[in-house]
Amino acid sequence: MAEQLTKSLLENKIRIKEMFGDCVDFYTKDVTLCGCRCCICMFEGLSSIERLWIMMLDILSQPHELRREPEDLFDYLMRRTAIPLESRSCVCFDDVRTQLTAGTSVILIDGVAQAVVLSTQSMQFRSVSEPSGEGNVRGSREGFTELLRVNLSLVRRLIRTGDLVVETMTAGERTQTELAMLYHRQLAPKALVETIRRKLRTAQLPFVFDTGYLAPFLQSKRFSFFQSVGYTERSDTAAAKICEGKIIVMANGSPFAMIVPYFFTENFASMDDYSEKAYFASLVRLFKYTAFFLAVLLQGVFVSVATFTPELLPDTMLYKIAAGEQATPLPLFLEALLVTFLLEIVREAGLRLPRPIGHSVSLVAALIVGDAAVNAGLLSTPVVIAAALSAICTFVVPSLYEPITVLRSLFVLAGGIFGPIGIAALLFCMVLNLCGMDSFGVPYLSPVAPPSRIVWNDGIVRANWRKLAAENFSVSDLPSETWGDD
Amino acid sequence: MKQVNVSPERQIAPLLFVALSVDAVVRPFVVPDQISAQSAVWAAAFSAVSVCAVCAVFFRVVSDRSLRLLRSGRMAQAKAVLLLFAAVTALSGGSSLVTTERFYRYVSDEPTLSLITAAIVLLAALYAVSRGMLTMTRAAGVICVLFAAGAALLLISAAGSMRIENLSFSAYPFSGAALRITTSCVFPAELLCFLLLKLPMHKSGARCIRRAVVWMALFFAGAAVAAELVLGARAAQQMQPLHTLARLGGLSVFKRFDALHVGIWLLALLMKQSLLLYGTRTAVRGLLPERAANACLPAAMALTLAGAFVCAAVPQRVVGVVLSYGTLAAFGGALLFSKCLGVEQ
Repeated sequence: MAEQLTKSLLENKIRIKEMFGDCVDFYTKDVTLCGCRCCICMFEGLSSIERLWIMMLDILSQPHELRREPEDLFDYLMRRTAIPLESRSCVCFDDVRTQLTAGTSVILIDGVAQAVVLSTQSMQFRSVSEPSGEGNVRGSREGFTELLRVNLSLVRRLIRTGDLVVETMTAGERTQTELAMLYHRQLAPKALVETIRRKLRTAQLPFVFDTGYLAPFLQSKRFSFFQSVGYTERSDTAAAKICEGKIIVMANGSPFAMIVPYFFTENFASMDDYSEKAYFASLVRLFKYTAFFLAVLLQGVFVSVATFTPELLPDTMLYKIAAGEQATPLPLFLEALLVTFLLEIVREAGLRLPRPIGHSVSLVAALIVGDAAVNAGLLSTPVVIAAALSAICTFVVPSLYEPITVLRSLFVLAGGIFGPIGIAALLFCMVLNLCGMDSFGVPYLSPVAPPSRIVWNDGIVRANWRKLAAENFSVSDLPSETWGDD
Repeated sequence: MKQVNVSPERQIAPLLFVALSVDAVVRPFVVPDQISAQSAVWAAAFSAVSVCAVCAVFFRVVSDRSLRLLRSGRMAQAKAVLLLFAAVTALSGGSSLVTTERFYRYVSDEPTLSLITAAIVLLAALYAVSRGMLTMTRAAGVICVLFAAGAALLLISAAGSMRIENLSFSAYPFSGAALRITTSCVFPAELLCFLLLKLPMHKSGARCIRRAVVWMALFFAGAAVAAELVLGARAAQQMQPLHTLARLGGLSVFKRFDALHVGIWLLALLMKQSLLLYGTRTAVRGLLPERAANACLPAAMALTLAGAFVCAAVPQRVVGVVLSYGTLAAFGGALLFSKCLGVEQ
């Protein structure tokens, strides 16, 4: 049971001081309001004293506003003034902590076992800007920021109906991070909403700094290379997913909103698809699927073909590959793994370093190390070309970067050691892995497997808006299966 | 969130189609059948009609309840039938393993060791079985699409070489080939696997099996006709006529579609192997006590390996005949079990 506030101002102040220790940013000031002894509490940087003065103190410091009883002052503040106080007062110390860390000011009144709360937030945050990882040719340029309330307002601005529901909760034992769950009241399946709510509430985490921390608690325990939750930095994408009956989870401090449930085909769709002509959007999607399979399979198949079935290659190419291979000390599959390893190192270096230096590192790695390695005979040119093509294809589907990287290496190993049968067996296992996944009761590969006509509306290809509007898709339309066998 | 439910029975058809049709493209390595396309069409039709008739009779007579009791293996009679099921599916799995290994050796210039190939195939099947039948049916849907697309590509790439005069017609096809047509009729052991599923088979399940068998027969007949259109009388002398067709076919500068076809056929073979391992595992589960549930899959794998050793030692034609009669016997056993239940009640 949470510890309640007492009527003694001194006791309350001591308890709050104990709670926050000697924090230099914790600000308290004793004041007299309408003749009653009070104490203002706030965090510097999160809350603004100027705003508090304008909103409340200026009005209450007028000599005619005298109240004899503290209860009378509390009642006057809560119900009879135009001061925009929060509708709920604090009754326990947990409430006080939550409000203070959210940037509001808490005013304790001597003789009242409750505290009034005033929204005087004035925290610094990154402004709304174009998302760095989800560029679009058309459509909105707004991306989420780190502040949850700003993100909520961005979505609210796009869905201006009463059906948008926003629920908040906290997660993280040590951080008490505020989470928000957004969904459409009519479209989101109730069982799904209930499941997500329960899983979020029961997630036992020491701290939460990103929605990604929560993903393992929402997904199946069974291992898979792929994720049944998605992420977006874009407010319009989040709003679109809500309008499909999905649920968006946001965490304070992270610009990445989590989308649940999330399906494999969604990795190949973007907001641009819906602004462009259907035939072109479909073509782009088909390119993306091709790029995905090239990214995963190209290197492995190349290694397998060159090692086990070289007769499949045209003569000229075969001679060049053979000549290249004779000049290098490593077997083909080890070369391919080495290039993949180098590419990942370069990527990590470019990502973690400051941007100008990161560019230089990429340049040095690509031009100098790559060229030198080929000239020195450490790597053969065909392997470098296959690796470069795979890497470029990977960037076409950035949301699948992690599984692609791991699977690519596995395919190189399988193709290099076991040949075509290794590739076929691993591909079979990959298909099984994809088919075996469920995203909250709906097959992850839906609407491809099990097949549904939605696949021709907004799956592998996209139909035009007339047809899409007539179908009025929501997540409940996707096929789900029940089988008592497994 | 189960608003739109897909009937799992519906998903069986692609799985069965893939598992059965792959026998038409990757044939057991025996002496060529020496039957013309015309006879092959009749053989396919005869096979399909026979299998559908047996299934129709079986599902009319045998209730879901008796199949449930059979699966549980609580009664001694059920155990006897399950033993037959396990033996037939394990032998069929072993035969499939041997065929896959031989086919892989046939298409690969630098083949892997037989044992390694068999181990890879079994491990992939093990993974499939561990993921469950639902996953397998979904994956079969994807592989079925690839298989169909591959077949269409094969047809298109070979269309240029097709000559109508290559087809041989006989006014009385039954006179000499009747015996061969009837002997080439097969009762695939894959059908037994579906009796072991926890599904109401006598309704849509039986219909799906029928549909898959008909499609398989059409595919088989189509493949035989296409092979003869291209290869003429030599088609009947080929060990793997469709692979020869794939090797010969091409579109413009693309001449090596056979690699693509082999990849797809290997996926289909893996799916078939998984289905048979699943069937053996389910039959073994009924035979072993509850506490030994974890041992079912290793036991099924061991049985399949034993079946592979048998199939490698015995002529493939004999294995085919044994499997057909074994499947029929297993159907008969299940039928008898159902009758016994009726008498006891």
